[in-house]
Amino acid sequence: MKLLFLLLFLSIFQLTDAQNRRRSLDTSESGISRINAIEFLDSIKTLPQSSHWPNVKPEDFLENLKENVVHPLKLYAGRGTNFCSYAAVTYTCLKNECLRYAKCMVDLYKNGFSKYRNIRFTPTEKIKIAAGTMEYQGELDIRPADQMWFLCLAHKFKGYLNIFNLKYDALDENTMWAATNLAKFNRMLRRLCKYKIKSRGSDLIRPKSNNIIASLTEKLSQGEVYLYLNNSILRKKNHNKIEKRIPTHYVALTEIKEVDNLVTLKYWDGGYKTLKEISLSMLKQALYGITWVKYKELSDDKTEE
Amino acid sequence: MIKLKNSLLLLLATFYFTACTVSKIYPVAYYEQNKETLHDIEQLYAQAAGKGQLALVFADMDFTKLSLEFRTDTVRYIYDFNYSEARVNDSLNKFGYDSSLVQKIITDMRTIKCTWINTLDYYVDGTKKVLLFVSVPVKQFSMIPRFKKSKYYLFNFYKQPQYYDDEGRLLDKKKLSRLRKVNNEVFWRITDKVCYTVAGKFR
Repeated sequence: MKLLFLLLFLSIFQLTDAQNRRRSLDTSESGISRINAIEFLDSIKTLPQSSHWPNVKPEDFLENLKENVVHPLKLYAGRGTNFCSYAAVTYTCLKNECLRYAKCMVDLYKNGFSKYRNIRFTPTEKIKIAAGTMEYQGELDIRPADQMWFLCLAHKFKGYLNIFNLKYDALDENTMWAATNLAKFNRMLRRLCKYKIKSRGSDLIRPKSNNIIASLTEKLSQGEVYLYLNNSILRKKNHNKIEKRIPTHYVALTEIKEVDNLVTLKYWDGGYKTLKEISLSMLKQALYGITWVKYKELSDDKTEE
Repeated sequence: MIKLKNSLLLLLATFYFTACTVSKIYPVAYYEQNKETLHDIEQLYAQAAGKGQLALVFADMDFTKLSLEFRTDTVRYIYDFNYSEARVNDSLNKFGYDSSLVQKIITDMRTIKCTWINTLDYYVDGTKKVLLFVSVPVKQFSMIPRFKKSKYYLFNFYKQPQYYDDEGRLLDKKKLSRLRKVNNEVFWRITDKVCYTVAGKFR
């Protein structure tokens, strides 16, 4: 009997130890991927002007990629675009698989098409011409590689919000062509992310939770958490008495805590990490969807780098 | 009966269209009326913000709920206050801003009923430039206030004179044949360095 207990104790100890080793391995894996990506981009001294992307200069393209790899949180989705969902899913690529992202982008620039895991990007001519020409979008104006990536993602993934505008025309980055519903967001993340994803909520009905803060904190400790929010509650843009009760914005949650019914929310939503204090009731009002990633569970797609 | 129905429809249509239109004269008149204060704000903001990025917003129409946005290189901190709270100065000092200057801006904002002040970056030939963005809610009459859709005068203050077409619309410097849009809006000339538009969002 004593032997049995000893064996049980040893096996539990070993499992915990293995789990801890696995976690630290994950962190160092992403670090190694970042270093490899920097080395990979440094090894490309120059690129010839791509005939596929006439408005993207090779030096600007490479500088943009390096900036994304070294400072992933500076990735910017533009001022008036509907690219927030694409920026949010890119968060996981730049966090966990920098090298894969860098290789995919360089292939895309050289060949006009590329593959990320099992996603094949084959942008249309209109998209290829539009990339590098966006204007009045703040820092996105001078980030041609990000324009390419966001346009390719929007072209590849479609949801029911896009059915009336399926084909890209100039300036469609600001229209429903680029809009993303929760199911489409989850589909994108599922196919781009290294890990398995889970989700709660919907486009119209808010998820119910007795203890939303504890639940989000727990999820955050295990991996990544993405929120689908009604941004007009979080950051007012007008003083209308009747507000639209629809979610409009995707963010990657980085920290959450509650003190005296006041929630301090820290999230990344393209370009910046934002720290905002709101009441618990406002958070519940604003929150329509939660998608999370557990670092313990790898995605079914075992594509190697 | 049909005549009555038609005239009623016409009346409704006229009411609808006039209710949703804001004359182009009003933002210019507002600017002329508050020119000194607006330019004072512009100077104070430049002094107070320096190289930092600070945005000030009044979240209500009574101009009591103040929200401050401090931006560092990678983090944007958003704090909500009552405008008279002592915490406002504590936060300003914490982020290295001159609280007396910012308090003057806040007082001026309340005086001229200004909702939002921020800087926006834009790029000309790959070079970053910055403009000051000021929003003022339009006073509107509505039969049913609850359903009233807010409108705002948006003013842009540039450091250099800008290009405009014959109709007074702001042009892109790089391609003078094209209109420059800020926040997806076309802007109209007031002076060489100041332009305006009317929009449904203040930022």
